[in-house]
Amino acid sequence: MTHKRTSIRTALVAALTGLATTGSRVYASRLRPLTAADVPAILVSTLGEEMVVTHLGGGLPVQREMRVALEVIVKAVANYESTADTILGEIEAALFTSHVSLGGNVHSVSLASIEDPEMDDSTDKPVVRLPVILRVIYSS
Amino acid sequence: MAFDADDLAAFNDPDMPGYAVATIGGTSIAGRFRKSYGEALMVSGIKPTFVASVAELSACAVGAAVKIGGVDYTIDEIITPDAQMPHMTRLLLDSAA
Repeated sequence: MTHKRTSIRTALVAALTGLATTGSRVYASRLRPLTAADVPAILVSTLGEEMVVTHLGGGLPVQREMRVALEVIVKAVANYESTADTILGEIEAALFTSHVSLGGNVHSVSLASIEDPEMDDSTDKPVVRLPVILRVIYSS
Repeated sequence: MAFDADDLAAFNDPDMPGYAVATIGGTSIAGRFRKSYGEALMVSGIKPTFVASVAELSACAVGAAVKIGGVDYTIDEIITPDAQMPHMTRLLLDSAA
């Protein structure tokens, strides 16, 4: 039986695939380094979650608040921060302009925070990583 | 034994692995060129470096254009001589495009 965390992660990849700047370069559970052909990209990772107990009876649904990290990765000679910001705008338009249920798997998806971007110039072009943290509410 | 002109000539011999001629500011400079594997924030890539004598690279500045093998780079960092490599300067390069 597929856990809802898997279903949510899969649905998020589908919802973010096809954005103007990143196209099909949306990857879940990625451990292998990205190549030049793989960027700009969005990496999707389901993080920890907390349970909200709304009842005392056993066997009833539990509401869960899960954090999901979307890491925007850009490698370019110039304008890499601006490109990351553009991708962020495309993510926001895809997920927050109207109610999103991710195929009926969640009650809501909202933007929890945008973490500090990291930049690194130790290869042939600068790379920027912009972490976007979502708050996903679902029940199990 | 001190590093002398003969040693430098051997280092820059065209038969040496990595031998390349860089064009910097219109001047051709012989040295050693290498593309090392590197990773930055989950993205793999290379970090090109060019090593030549201190004298020939003395006028280089960060941001200057470098052409090696028909490919354009810019100087990202200049590593000045140290105890390990007292007579050579190393240029860390970025791709220009």
